Amino acid sequence: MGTYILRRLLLMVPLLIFVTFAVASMMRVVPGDPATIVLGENATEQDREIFREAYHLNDSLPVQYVRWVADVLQGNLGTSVVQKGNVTDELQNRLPITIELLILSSLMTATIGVTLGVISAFRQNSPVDYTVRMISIFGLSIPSFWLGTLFIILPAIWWGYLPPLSRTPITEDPLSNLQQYLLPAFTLSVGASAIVMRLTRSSMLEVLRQDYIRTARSKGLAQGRIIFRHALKNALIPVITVLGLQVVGLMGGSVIIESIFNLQGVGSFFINSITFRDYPSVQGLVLFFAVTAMLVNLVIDTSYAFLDPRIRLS
Amino acid sequence: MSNQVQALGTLDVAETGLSPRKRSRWERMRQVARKQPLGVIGLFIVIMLVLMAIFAPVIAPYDPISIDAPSLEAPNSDHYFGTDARGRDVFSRVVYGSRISLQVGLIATFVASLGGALIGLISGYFKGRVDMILQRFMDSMQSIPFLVLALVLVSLFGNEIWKLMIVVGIAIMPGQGRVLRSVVLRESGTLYIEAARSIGATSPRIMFRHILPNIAPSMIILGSSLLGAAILIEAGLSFLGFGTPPPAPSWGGDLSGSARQFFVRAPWMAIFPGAALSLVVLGVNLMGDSLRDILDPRMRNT
Repeated sequence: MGTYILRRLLLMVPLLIFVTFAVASMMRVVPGDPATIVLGENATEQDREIFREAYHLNDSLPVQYVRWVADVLQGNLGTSVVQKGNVTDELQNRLPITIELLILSSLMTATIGVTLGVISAFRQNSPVDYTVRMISIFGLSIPSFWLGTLFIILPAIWWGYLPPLSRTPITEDPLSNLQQYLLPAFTLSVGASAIVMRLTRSSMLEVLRQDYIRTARSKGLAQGRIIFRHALKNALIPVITVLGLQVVGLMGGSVIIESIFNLQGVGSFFINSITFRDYPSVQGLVLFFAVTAMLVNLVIDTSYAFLDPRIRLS
Repeated sequence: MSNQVQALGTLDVAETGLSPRKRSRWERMRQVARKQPLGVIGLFIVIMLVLMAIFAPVIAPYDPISIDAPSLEAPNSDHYFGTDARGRDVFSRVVYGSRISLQVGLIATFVASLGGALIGLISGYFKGRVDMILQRFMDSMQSIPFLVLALVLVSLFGNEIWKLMIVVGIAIMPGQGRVLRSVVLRESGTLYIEAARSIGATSPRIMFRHILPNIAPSMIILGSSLLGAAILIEAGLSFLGFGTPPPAPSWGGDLSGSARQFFVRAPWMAIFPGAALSLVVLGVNLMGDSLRDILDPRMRNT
């Protein structure tokens, strides 16, 4: 187990070099000079030169890249060209918001998706099953940014209610903080829940056909015991794989949701960086997204062994 | 393909005896339609969308870009979906918006299918080191969320419509490549490939003449499930202001930007483009689900 995790962590290194180097080199190929963007069209050539010198933009790509990697290894993700601050600091300020959003929506995805999937499988071809399946196919088709927009404008039209623009930190007032995050998190989780629901359903149906379930039934076990102890545990393995992929998808979706609900998280930081062609920030954030995704996948892969002792990690 | 469909064909010949060829095809289609009512609804929605895109100039009563009405007018008999903040007809913009969604969605899916098939073929056929390097490359692409990857690419290469198609295609390509690789792996272990190799067929010939036709059904299934994703990514990019540049009508773009401040006063501006988008993705998803059921019974309900 320990060696497996270690090997997976080591495997992440070449992947990360690949990702960051690709991003770093693409960033420089493209027209659009950060000096002009930051200083404006009216800046003199001299000012721009000073700017480029200050941010080492004149160095060759490999030199810039190596300097950046050295910084990253010291915990410094780069110096933002636009915000005149450290990318790591900015990230630390915004991280709690995005993490809370992601944790809440992942929990919602797992709860809604698995519950509906199990119900649907147990009542296969009943009206309940059809309703749940219809809901899931609608959930899959509604774009999160439209759903979020509706969640904001419909209450405003019906009851004149507008969500507050500022957020209460969770440390101050956990309850009102949770209230503020519930809607964005739910909006974000709808599409992923639908996918998890569909997979849970089909995986459950497959398990329910197995002989050992029939044995459990004929032994006279209670329905609840069959579902939770015998069926669900085996049905969840493919579901967990997909859940992992969905968490990566939720990270992408958070970029949009944060902009709709005016959350100053990592996603809106990323949008700002893209808008201003803030190379160091974009690089740092892509690194952040990639590392998070790889760690999530690692957690998922190791969790198989806990769920099913027959699976040996290798 | 499916034994089911073949079995239906023979059944018709045996039972009717009348002009078996024509009749069996018709019967077969009706059988499939009866078994897949949702798929038929999906197909209907998609056909409507295609017609709407093709005949947009005929259907739309106004020019989608020109300003020819008072702004923020509620839906009425002149402007079915009302007018937006600049006095443009929302109905006409929704109709024209189908063109962008459809073009970007279809071509991006096509790009992703071709790229994915090529990567899958090379990776699955040559195996070994080539496979390892390509798969690590795919891994690193997949470790970045779709939308983040698409945003980075768009900011780098620009947002002309043909670039959008390629960018969205690249963003959804790794998924295709991964699955097609496993199909190619399974396929290249079969006897007929060994036979082709033993009579001295070259690698490209085996890859493109023998394996490619056999992975085509999988390509179609995957493609149909990615089309919805492609349409949503384009809309998402436009929503964030990095997709189709204004004033061109685009469903995602019309839901964003300065328009947002008027949504409470003029909710029709937000409701109709979003509803059109959801309806189309719904149609594509329903159709994709049925297509998968018909073409590949093993993947049913997944």
